[in-house]
Amino acid sequence: MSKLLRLAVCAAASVFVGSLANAQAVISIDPTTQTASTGNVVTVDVGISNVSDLYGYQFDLAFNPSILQAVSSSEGPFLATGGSTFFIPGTNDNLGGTVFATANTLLTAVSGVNGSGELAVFTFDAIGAGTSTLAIQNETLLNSSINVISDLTKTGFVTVSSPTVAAPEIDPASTMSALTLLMGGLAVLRNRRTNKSAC
Amino acid sequence: MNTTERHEWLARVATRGAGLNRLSFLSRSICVLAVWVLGASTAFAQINHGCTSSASNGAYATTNGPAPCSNSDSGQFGGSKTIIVEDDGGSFPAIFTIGYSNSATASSSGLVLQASAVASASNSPAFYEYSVNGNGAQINNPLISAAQPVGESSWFDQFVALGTGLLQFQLTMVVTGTPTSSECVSGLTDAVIRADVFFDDNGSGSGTINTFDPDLPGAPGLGIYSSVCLGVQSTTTGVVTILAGESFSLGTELRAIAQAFAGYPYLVFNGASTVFVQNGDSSVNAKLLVYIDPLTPGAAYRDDTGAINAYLTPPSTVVVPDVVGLSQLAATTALVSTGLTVGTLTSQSSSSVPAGNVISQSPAAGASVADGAAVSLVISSGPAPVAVPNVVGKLQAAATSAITGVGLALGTVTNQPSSSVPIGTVISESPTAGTSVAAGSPVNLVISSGALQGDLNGDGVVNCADLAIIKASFGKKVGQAGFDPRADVNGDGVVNIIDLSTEARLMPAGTVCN
Repeated sequence: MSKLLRLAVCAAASVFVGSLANAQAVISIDPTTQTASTGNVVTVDVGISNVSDLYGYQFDLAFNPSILQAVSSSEGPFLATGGSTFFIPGTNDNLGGTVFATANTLLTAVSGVNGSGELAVFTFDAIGAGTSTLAIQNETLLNSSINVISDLTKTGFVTVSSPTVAAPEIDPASTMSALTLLMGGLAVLRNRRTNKSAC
Repeated sequence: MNTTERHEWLARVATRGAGLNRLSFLSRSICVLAVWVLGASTAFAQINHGCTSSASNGAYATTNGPAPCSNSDSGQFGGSKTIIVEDDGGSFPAIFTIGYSNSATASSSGLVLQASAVASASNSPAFYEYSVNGNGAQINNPLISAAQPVGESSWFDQFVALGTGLLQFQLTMVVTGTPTSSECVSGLTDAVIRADVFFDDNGSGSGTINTFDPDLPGAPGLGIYSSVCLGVQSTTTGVVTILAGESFSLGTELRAIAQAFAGYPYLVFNGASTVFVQNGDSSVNAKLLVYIDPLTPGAAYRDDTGAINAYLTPPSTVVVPDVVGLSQLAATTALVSTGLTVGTLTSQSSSSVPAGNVISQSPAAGASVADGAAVSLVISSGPAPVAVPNVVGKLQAAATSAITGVGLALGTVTNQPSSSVPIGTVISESPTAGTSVAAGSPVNLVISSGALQGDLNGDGVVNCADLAIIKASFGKKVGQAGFDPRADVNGDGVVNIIDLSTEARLMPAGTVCN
């Protein structure tokens, strides 16, 4: 398959994934992209949309430990709209670059929550220049029957710059080319991890 | 008495033959009564029938000793009197008479009362019987020896006195027969010595007889009124209750004998014309045991005045009621109302008789006992104590058998989840094993209902502590450090959101953690 054909297939797959996203719960990083300078605190939310009867969830949040250092995590307000919750903030692995096993669940025999909302809030320290992806991994959504809810994830990006270094001059044409390639590559990576996309 | 009268009197006496009246039998008695008439006016009663007696002039003599008297008793009472007869020493002796009147009666049938009299001269000059024997012999002792019927009024004899001397006159009364009831026989009522010098050689009757003569106006006299109580064997008794501090009389028909009852006050016979019994204690009623004629049990007796003075109760025995099985109070009430008392109380365990009730009694029901007798009771203290068996760890059925097998009862059974005790097995018991309890007491059991779903720490409840166990192992896989198999609720080898949410759904409503 030629490179052009692969891109075409992937583009079509992206359209397909986008249509699935309308029926499936989507876990995403909010904001999807943001910038920061080293030494700054970066806060990102993990949100969910289009979910029905959400009773509990669990996920890992992967990041580039050379750029970000996980500091803390806290419960978002969404699940608590359904009642009392039991939140596990997860374990920060700043060597491997993962906030491991963040989880939350409703308590007692109640129904899950519906719609969209913020699941958890994470804070990082920006320690190094560069762009770090923030990827939802090993996620599991459960409904009130303790059955798995299918989902999609959307990765976020945090670009950290060094405040002491002047911004390089960028050629717009080359930048666009590089950005196109980057987006295509990211799409492939994401679909592999979620195993829920055609690519 | 003038000469004419004396002659008339002498003639009257002479026509009496032996000079004795046939005295009618007024009563029938088995006693021999003897009267000794003394100038010193002493009198006594002597009773030979086995019943002790006492008598004095003017008073009844009555039995006061224990019955029974014998059916063939005999008794006597009487007296003697010494008289002084003086002759004036003329050629014609003084002639005088001696006699007595007798009103002795015996109401009981079958009694014969007779009298005999003896007169003896104690010094010279001799006295001669003038008319009794008709031989004019000098009086020697006994002057009169034949038994004579004693009856209604009098008996006289004439004597001749030559000179002055003492003459002792003795009367003996004999009663024979078989009485049909007990009674006191009185005799010699107004017994007198009639000494009446009616004839002397000087015709003036100057002889002196120094004695009393109740028939002579103004003469000193002393009636002899004495009696003895004769009896048949008394076999029936009655009990008379005497009110506290009071007294009453018993008629002569009553053969009353006071007998102390245990617990009753002292009774006093005060001795009177009739027998009075006085309650010696003014605060407590007394009882008098009265022996009565067997022919008239339970009759109301009257004293001499006709007043009812005693009602005799029925025979003083009661039948012991059956109080077995009754409560102590009810048994006591039954006994007391029957006239019995409660004796010794003994406590004894019983598995069949409820605590506080009578197990047995002594004497047994139906026995005839004396009024006021004590009946001992054995009171149940309930079943004997039983040690609670150890049934912890046994299945409920086996535990129940063990409990009931020693006489205890299965109490409440409570189910309780337990992750360590198999389902259906006794977790605990109350009272604990070895405790001594009354038979039939309940033993409560706590039975394991098995592990409680979601009770990860086995504390019997599902709560945040169980979630904490999962949290501590969250994300761990089997084999990893920190993996707690309890947290792996679904047993898939990893502790994850499935375990957490599964546990979370088991939380009781309203649970709030963190």
